[in-house]
Amino acid sequence: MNIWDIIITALIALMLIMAVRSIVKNKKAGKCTCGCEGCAAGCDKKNK
Amino acid sequence: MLKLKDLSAGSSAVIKTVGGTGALRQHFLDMGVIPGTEISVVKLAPMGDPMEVRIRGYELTLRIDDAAQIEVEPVSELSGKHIRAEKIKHTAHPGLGESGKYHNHEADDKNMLPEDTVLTYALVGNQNCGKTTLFNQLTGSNQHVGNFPGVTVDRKDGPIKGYSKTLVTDLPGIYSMSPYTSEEIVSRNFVLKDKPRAIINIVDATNIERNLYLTMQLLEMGIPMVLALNMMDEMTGNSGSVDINGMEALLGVPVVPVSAAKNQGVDELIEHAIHIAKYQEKPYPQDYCDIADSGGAVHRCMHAVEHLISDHAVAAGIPVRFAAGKVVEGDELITGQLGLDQNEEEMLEHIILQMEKESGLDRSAAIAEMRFAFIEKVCSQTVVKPKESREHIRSQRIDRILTGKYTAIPCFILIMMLVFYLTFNVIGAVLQELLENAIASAGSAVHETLVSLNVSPVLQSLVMDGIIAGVGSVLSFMPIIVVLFLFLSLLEDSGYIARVAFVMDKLLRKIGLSGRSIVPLLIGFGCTVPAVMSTRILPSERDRRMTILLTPFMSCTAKLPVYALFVNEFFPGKGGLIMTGLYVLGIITGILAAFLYKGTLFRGEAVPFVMELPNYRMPGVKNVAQLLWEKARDFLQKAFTVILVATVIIWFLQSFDFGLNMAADSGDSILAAVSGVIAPLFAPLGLGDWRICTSLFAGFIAKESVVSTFEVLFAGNTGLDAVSAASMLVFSLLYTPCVASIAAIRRELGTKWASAVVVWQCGIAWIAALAVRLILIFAGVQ
Repeated sequence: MNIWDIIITALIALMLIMAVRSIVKNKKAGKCTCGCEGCAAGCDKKNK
Repeated sequence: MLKLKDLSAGSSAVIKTVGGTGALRQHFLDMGVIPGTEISVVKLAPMGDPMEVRIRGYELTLRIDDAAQIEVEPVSELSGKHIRAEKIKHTAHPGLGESGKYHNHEADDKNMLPEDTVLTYALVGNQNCGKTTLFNQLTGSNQHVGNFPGVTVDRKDGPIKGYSKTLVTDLPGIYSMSPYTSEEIVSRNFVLKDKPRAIINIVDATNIERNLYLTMQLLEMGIPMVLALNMMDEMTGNSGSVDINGMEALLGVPVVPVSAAKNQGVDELIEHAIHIAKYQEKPYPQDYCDIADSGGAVHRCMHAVEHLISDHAVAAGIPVRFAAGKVVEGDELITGQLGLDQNEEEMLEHIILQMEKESGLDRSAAIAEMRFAFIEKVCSQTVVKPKESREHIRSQRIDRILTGKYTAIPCFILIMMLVFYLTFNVIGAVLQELLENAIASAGSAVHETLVSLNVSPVLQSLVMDGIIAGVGSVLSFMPIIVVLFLFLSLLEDSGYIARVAFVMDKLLRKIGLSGRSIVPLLIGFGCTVPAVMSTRILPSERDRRMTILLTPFMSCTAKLPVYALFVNEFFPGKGGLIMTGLYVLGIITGILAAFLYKGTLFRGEAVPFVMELPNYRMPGVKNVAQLLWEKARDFLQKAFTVILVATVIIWFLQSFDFGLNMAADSGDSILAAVSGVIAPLFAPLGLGDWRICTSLFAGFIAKESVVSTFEVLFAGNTGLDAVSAASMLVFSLLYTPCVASIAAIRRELGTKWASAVVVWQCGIAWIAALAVRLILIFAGVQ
């Protein structure tokens, strides 16, 4: 395993963590992961 | 007596009686269709039904069956009864809602809310009068606006720019406080139950009479209110005018002329809105039932009812005047909340019967007539009627072709063909190719770099076969999706979609729906989620449920990458034909399902088609650009979140075995073992490969994941034949919508229906895919 393996693994892990974080954050904020406006509006209402 | 349906296009009459019963009749009355009103027939839809009429200065559509309930007396020419003031009087400024000389500091300061109170506002108005445009100006937000009655189907909140202690709620458009559709119930409940500190009532100045009908009912609520007279630029641009001071004095609330689209008058509106909410300045109390009308019958009835129910109304928290009007109208929801005893109910009934006898009008018509009589008084004193607007003349010219008897349907087909042609063959396709090349170049560069850096083969596989193959393949379809949304947005913003509803009503009625259902169905070609949401504009639960169940048959844009993948590989050069075929197959299956629903789950007739036809307008560049940016942003967000994670998970599962060792052959992987269990189910469709089952399952998360998973698992070599590919295309077209759509259906219809949709769509897809496969095999296709 060379240094680039470690760096690339770390980068991919970071990307995945950010992606999962974004999905969880959106879900908690009531925004659906599908991202469309109708869905977001519906979820916003649900969270009121 | 002659019926409205018997009148020919271009002829006019005076309404004598409005027949029918229930909510529809009330809706007609609320829209201004009341005895004594002049009405002209503009035209009939190409198939002879519905008809478009002009009443009180605006265009309304209604079905022939409903027109048969309205008795009329023909007139050779209109009396001009609704012509208003000749010129503007200079009325002294009443100064309502201001801190100036008319503000009674001593009395008003007592009502002043504490400094830290959040001032909540309800933004209320008729459909398509510019509420969302004004909401965007007030709050600085970027909500989508359209030119179709009922774009807003849910409430949206935001603080006024520069006033953090405020909250404006943009509500769906309503015509009156008598709930007719579910979106109207959202608005009515918000005003009645959430009790906003103040109301911003937006009124379309170019269609003032009908808009003021809702204003009348809002005034009765006794909530501080400011009236925003929108589209004043259009009104004055056509030589019309309004005596703002006079209207303010007559209505008893501040009136502010604005043009929301041009951001004119909005600052003044905010000042007034803050003032009335802060000081809780309620509408000036006055009597809208003129003692001189109908010999004073309505006036006496209203006041008698007010006295009789006042204690109940106060106890129920409903404004007395508003409750009295609703009791007389026979609104069961409000009457039920009052908790009247039998004796009181009988007394009320006698009072109302007496009023009906004296006025010669039934209860609902008498109340509607009372309100319109007051509105006519206000308009005759304060409104100088504009000439026929340029927008209206232009709309009529365009409509001669787009809704013409012989041209409407060919035009609709041509326009939709043009939209799909430009999307898939010209603009979208060119942009997609550019992006595909860019992604391919970036992929090669990354591959070379990884090799030169001597990165381990497992990581190389993850980056190249997993992330770049998966996310990259989905990303390249962004242009097609954005372009299709651009066209759907242009059609909606221009006002054409409303005409499609008018033209298609008779056809849709054959499958048990009304013309208005065409809107969610067309939006379904973009995305199922907003399509399901937009069914709230439909006034009946039956139509709404049926339309929701049909939206998954409309092929959404997320399925395009799936089609493109298989068409490019198996049917090169026949892309347009196959794509069109898939869309048509979706529509035909939808129609067959509709017939089935009509005969089983949803027996009965579609709801009446009562809709306002807006003028054609030039779609706003900012509005369209903003919508496209949102779609592109959402797509990118989805690609780099859900699809990225799904791709990596799939790559992991297909690269490792249960001992977490790198599988030499993907057939030994975890994924192969799990998917192998359901694969036999797909064997009759020629899709018995575990990798195909995995891709289809991934499509449940997001349709684009079918492509990314396919790319990861097959690495460019699918090993399918053309027949199986066709079967795959049909299955992808019809099987269960993605999880976001199912969540939207669950929100609208409940868990049972949502689960049923998943099973039902998968069942239909399986049968259809098998049928296509068998047909192709018998036809000798290899």
